[in-house]
Amino acid sequence: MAFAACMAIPLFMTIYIDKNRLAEFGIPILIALVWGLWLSRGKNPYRGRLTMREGTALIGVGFSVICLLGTLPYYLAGYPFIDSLFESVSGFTTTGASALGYLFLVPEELLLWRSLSQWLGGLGVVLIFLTLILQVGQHATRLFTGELHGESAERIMPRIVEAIHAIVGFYFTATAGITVCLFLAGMPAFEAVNYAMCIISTGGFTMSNSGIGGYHSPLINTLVFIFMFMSGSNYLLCYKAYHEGPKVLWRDSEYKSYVAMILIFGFLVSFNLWWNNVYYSWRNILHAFFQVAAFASTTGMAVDYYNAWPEFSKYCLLLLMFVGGCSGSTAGGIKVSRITILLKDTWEELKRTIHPKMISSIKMSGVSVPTPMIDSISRFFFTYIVLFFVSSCLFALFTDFSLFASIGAAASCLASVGAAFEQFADVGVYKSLSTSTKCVALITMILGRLEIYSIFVLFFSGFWDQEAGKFKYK
Amino acid sequence: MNYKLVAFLLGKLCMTLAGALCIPLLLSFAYGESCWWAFVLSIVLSLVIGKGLDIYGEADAKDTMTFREGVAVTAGTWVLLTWLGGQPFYFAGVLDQVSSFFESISGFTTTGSTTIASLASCPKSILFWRAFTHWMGGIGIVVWFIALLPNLSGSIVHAYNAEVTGAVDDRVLPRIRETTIALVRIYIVFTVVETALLMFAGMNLFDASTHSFSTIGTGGFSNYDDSVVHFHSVPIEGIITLFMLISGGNFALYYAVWRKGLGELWKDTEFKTFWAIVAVTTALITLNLFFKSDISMWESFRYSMFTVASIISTTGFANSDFDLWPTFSKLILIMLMFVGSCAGSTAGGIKVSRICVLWRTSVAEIKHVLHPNVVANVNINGEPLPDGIVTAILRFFFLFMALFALLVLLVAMTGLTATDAISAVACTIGNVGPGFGVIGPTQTFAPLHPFAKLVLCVSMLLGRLELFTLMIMLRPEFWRGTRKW
Repeated sequence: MAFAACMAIPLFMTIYIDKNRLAEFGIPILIALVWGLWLSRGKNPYRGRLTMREGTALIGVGFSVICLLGTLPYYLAGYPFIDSLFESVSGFTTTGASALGYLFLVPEELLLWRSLSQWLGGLGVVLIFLTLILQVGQHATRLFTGELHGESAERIMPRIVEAIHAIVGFYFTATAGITVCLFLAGMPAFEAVNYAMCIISTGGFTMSNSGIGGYHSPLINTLVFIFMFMSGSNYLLCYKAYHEGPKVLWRDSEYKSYVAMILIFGFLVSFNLWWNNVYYSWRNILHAFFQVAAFASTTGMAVDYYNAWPEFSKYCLLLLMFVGGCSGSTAGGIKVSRITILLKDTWEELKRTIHPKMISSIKMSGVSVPTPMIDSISRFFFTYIVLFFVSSCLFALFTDFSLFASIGAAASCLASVGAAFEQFADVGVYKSLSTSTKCVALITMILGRLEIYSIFVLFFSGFWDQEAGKFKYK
Repeated sequence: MNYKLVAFLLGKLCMTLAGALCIPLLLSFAYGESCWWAFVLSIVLSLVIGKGLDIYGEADAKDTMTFREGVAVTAGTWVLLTWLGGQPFYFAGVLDQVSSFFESISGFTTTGSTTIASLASCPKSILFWRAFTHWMGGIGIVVWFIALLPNLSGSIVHAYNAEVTGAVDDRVLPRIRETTIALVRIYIVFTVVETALLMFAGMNLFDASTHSFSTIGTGGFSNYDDSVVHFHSVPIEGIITLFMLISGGNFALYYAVWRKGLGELWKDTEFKTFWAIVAVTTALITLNLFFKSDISMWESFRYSMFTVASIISTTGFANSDFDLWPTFSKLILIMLMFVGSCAGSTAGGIKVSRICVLWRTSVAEIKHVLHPNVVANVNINGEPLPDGIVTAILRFFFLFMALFALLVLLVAMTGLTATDAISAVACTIGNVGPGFGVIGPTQTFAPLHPFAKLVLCVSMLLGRLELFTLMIMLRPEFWRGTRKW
């Protein structure tokens, strides 16, 4: 229902621009409304008691339905079904890969719908993140919200509601803020709104094939860099920093790693560009940091034709795709917090090898992380790498592009970046690829976005079994 | 840390190496080659360093070796002995100092990446020494030491543990010497059988023995620039394929088969998985080659079978230029470089047993997400694995990938393309040998920047000693005085 309302925005715009296109948004809105009303007739006997499987089903099925409905505007505008589906999934997963080809041929209301789908997708992802916190339980909540001392389970729930308010509030405010800043920096109002929605959701759809680089404005580039950096960090933390001062940021281990990562890779790439005389003076640094933030926050916008950069820089960008942004943001990838925990614990494991009887644990933001949690993060890491390999193989099989292009595309779709290397560096490249390639990309994007497990369990034999696994939480 | 004990053992090992160097020395006399003095110089150098360490070091009967000394001996052995083992290449004028170190590490770690641009102009004794380093390194330098020097074997258990590959610790320590001797015996039997078969298929004694050394050690040095393509012989390729796959199996398992019968093979999860991976990837690559290039089904099968065996056993022989294959096949090969063979084999890589555990524990995780109250165990060989081992394997995998990413970053700094850098590190950390692009099967590592060569040396050592042995030396606790926890 909320979805139908959102779709009404481009509808009004369509009416304003061109009355003949009414049907493109009218029909999907009708379907969404009718279907939504029909579903909500059913009574909810288990109010407040969601089992694990129902929660997962909600995310998985809900996401698929939204993607399918989001497909209709493109389809009705005359694009092939697979391209429309691709664009819709790429939007809602906040990936930003495009199958529409030349963007100047795309009507404006569709461009707005694209951006809006990313914005909605981003909002959905942060909300899913909070739901996951609920699932993992108390300890994780403390870990991610930075609360240091133990609290009983009853007190967690109000905090989560508060957190949801905070995050949604931040999301709206930030979108408005970015729009104003970009507008003041000289971007046309319509494009500023669209870019704001694509940046805050770390989506990365652009309004033209040349993207942000097309404005040739260092001011806009710098602003977008700052906003991408912000979008890749934990929103809850940003909200807290806004209320309690920036000290909160430096108490957070994940944020520190995130900043360190951007700085280190930013300087590595700057140095590499400068060494190879790619740009003139300070542009090396600006472009390097822009691109590093674009890949680390999994936005995937391009400041220039980075595919022509030296190979070392491209490899750095590839690595950043794997790490991704902070947890609690709309960014994809493995997430900085997970990588930090794994690095810290591996370093600790070496100590444990020397002194096998010693019991030691690692801390994130002053809270010690339990071993089972680190183990499940390691399993996530392994699953991620396996999926990456399978997806790269399929990309290679269906496209016959080079090795680097294939692994880049797989990493990019899995981390919801959108941009990749060689053939995949061009905006809208997917239009020219085969249907099977598009399907591989689609599935990879969805798997990466929903953090893999919530989708995988759908296909697991025990999932649909009613009797097994009755687990309730408050 | 008991430095004197470490020095004492290292000194003994250096002198053992001097003994091993006598074999190519005799060979160079037999062939009447002028490079004999290169071996003499290396022997003298090994003896001088060995004696020096021997004079500094001392071993009391009451000195027991702890874990840290074991690690230090193993790491020291693999750095010092490989450096000494590379000196013949340098003295004979074949390679410069960095390249000869690379060549020797590549030999002892059974990688098989070569920096010798033209093998045709190499003296035969040098070629023999290259293959012989594979054979010594394959089963492990410390293993030879235990088998050959009986009086020290009790104290060297920890060094042995630091060197032997694999995650699941099922070695019977009091019987370490008997086990080791049995392993060495199996190792020698395999080598002799393969040499005989290769001679039967038409090779001369020299080629047959060096190729057997390379195969059983899963190294991959060949006497010819075009590797096994040189022979244009299907029987030879078949024999080598078979022995590469055998060498990819667990030698301790073969010992069990020898004692208890063939039934042991089918009880072993890792062995079955290994063969399943070989079958599936061979089928995939065969089909990919058949449909994407204009060669017959039989040729596709012949090339893919040999290459899969060569890559998964981390040998690195080539019977075709797999750098020209479709990207899909290349990605599968890269995956095989990471997977490697069975624990307790002479091969490198992450090892099939670890991949098995990782796979099963990840599937169990999905079950756990679904049913939070279910406790899902990981079973290997029908028995549940303790949590501690699963944790260690999970950390190992992350460390492997993290180090891989870091090493690629360092190699890419020297100006290699990203693909070449990725394949260079993948094939050295997995101890495979040739990669793609500038270091493809028809190319050598000679044109690389010296810094890249040194990084790849580290990569090969990390791969051979399974990361932790070298990595724990980075911890400050390692170097501090003995403290019991």
